[in-house]
Amino acid sequence: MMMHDKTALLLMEYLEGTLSLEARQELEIQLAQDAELRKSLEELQLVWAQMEQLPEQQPSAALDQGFNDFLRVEKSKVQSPNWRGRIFSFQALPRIELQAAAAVALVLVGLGFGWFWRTNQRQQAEIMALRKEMHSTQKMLVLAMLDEPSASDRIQAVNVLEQQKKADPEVIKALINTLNFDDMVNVRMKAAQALSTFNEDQMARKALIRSLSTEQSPEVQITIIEILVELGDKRAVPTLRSVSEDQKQMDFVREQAANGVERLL
Amino acid sequence: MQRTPHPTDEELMVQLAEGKLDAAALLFQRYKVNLFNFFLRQGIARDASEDLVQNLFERVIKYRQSYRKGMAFRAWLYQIARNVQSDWQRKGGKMIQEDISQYENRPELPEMSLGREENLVLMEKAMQQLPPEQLEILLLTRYQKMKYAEVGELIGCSEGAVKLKVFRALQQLRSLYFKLEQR
Repeated sequence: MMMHDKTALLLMEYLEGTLSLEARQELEIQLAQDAELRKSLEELQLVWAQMEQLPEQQPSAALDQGFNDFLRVEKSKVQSPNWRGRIFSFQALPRIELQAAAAVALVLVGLGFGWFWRTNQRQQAEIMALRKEMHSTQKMLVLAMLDEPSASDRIQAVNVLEQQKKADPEVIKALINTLNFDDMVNVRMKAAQALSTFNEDQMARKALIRSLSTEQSPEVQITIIEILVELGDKRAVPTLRSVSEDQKQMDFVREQAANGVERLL
Repeated sequence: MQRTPHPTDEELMVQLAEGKLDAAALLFQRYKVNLFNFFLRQGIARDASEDLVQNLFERVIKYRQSYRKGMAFRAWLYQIARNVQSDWQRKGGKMIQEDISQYENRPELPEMSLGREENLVLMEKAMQQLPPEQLEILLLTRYQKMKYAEVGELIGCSEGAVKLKVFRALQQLRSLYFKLEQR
């Protein structure tokens, strides 16, 4: 039996959890009186939930490879229009005299040895620019991964960033942001560890000290305390002391902070 | 907490349209898995699904200038997905019928209880028996997480009509699923 549109929309909103309280109560009265409708809804709920459970499959690495190859080719087209493009733009010169002059010039240049040399130089420069750009693309992709909904993706991103040899301000800032604002404890812990590898960087050190005073999770607090003690940074002492004296903190966190103060002094 | 990706898809697409091709790499990372599953769940083989995703992003890059600021990116993207798929079908691309083999050797399944695994296989079977347009609307709204208004823009009907279509598709899926379960 085809269900009435109004009831259908009501059930749909019920399944999605977007039904208003009033409408829900009304529907529940209807459900209490109508066994068939109740059965339909139960089965729909099961199907709805079951659909959510279906695992997502991952494409193979060949897809990434194919896309990256294509992108590289397209980028090189944007950066250096091909020789045909250059000749056509030459034909677009406005006057015949100019075209003739340009043709002579082109022949002379074409005959010249320097032409080869310059072409070579330009290609080298283009290759360098491409390499630089590829590097910045990779960095951008990894930084963007820190915003992924999946915690394991975010951890993976932190892992990659940690491997950087040089402290890049943009990377440090992204890690600090993750340390302070990520929802997941294990991601924040990983970010703290990653920041500790850039221990020469003042911004990274300061961020670790600062986040100790705001961090709520004991696991992350302990990780940060261990890092600060390991780094032997005396500037952490006031913060460690205030954590050790803060009655709202867990006992073992306070103890760990007090130990840290002793070891740093 | 649902994170709003930054930059947004639309911002990236504007950058891409302006010739900053790196933006495409980010969009690809965001959508490749979703799109791959979009094709796969319609019964297209793995290899062909990957080819379609590749082809789709090639079009996104080639036709980047056809994107206009203010357009809903996902509606635009899935319009291309539909075009790519229909071109592929026109050239003789065939769906696999109830290919259970694609559920074998999946890393997720061995951890599940047998009952649950069977139910999921039944669910996938039932989904593949749906008429294509009903399957598509469920995939777009339930898996690709498109808003009803976006799907409405894509298939040319109102938000309310989309919601109703989703419900009818769900009813159909329910009856297919319970029919299979009784066998």
